[in-house]
Amino acid sequence: MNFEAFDGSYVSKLRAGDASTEQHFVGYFTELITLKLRSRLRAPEVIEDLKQETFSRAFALIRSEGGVRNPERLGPLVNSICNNVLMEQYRASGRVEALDETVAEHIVETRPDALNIAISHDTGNVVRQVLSKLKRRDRDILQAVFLEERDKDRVCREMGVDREYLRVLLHRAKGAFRELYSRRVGEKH
Amino acid sequence: MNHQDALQEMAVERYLLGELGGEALDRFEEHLFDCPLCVTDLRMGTTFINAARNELRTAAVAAPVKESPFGWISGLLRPSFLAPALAACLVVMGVESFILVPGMRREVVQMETPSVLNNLVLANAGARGDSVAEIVAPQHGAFLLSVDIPGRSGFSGYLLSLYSPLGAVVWQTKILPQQASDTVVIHVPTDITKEGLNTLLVQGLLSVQGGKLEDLARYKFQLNVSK
Repeated sequence: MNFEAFDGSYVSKLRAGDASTEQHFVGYFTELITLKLRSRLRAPEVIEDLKQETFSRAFALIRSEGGVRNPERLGPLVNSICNNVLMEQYRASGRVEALDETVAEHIVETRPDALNIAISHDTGNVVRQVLSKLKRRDRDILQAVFLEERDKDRVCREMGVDREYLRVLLHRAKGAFRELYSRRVGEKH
Repeated sequence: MNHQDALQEMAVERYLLGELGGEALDRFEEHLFDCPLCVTDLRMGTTFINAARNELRTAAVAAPVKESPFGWISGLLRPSFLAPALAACLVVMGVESFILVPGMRREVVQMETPSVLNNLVLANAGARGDSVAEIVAPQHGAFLLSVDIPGRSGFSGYLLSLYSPLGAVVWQTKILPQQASDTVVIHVPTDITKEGLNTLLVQGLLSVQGGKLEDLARYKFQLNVSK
């Protein structure tokens, strides 16, 4: 499906139950909702429940008469629904406010799940290339942060860098990965 | 926040690194759900991180490359190798005499001297994966792990395995059922593993089925090394 932005036509197809549009909608927002929930909650079963609830309410609203007044703002609407689901979860569990930054550190899931289990052969090759071009220290930093999950401030101190360096390292590595990956996908097509 | 703000603030990187919280997190997510460009960037980021984690894990346990059995001899006899090698020998002798041996003597003294070690009780902490216990241990020192072996019959013994944050087995031991009837206390030298998320796996040795193992408990704990 060629997707550029949410619009009236997209929402109409969702309301009509068009399968490929529904598939795109779920595919597009699953990762966003999961990352959002993972930044605030720990238990995987609760995250899964709230994700399902968010989609359930989103579809109910989309299919209701006049439910989506502004199709171009479908994304913020889904975000808002997810926020409401989260607030209800906090109230139900007796928590007044969202967890602090220490939970946000676990946005990228370490346990295998549907989002990360299917690392294709091509992706692996591209990442290998990106990592091989990094300085040893930069590879060690990525390993310490993402594989060993060590405290980031401590890693930065030990490696003699600051958090800004870590951000820039991730930015450059991601950019190199994106460029090589796009080239690889372009060659295949 | 608009897309330019997100780029300038490196918001996607901050999000992936878990550096956003409170209002900043809400503000970015409000923008993210409305910005296909940031969504694509974020997807690239999560894909890269997950694939890099796989790759780094594989590289950490990869076997060393095998070399030809005799080719190294001629390499050793070259002057370009011999001269620095001799200089290195002198340095090693100096290090041994002035640093290592006195250090080893200190370690012997430490081992023979009673000392208080930090103890982490792994009875239930981390067993369900909902919380991770933490322990601080001195570099080149040791710490204690106290673990209760789940009481079930039918095992000829138990296998305890300690996994480092890289997933490598750094220590393993078998214990008898009699030893497992009470809390098992393990003295762990800090240097055998690494700082980070370690795992102690407890497996039962199945006596009837000829040595097969059954996972009984998996205790995760965060090791922080103090220098």
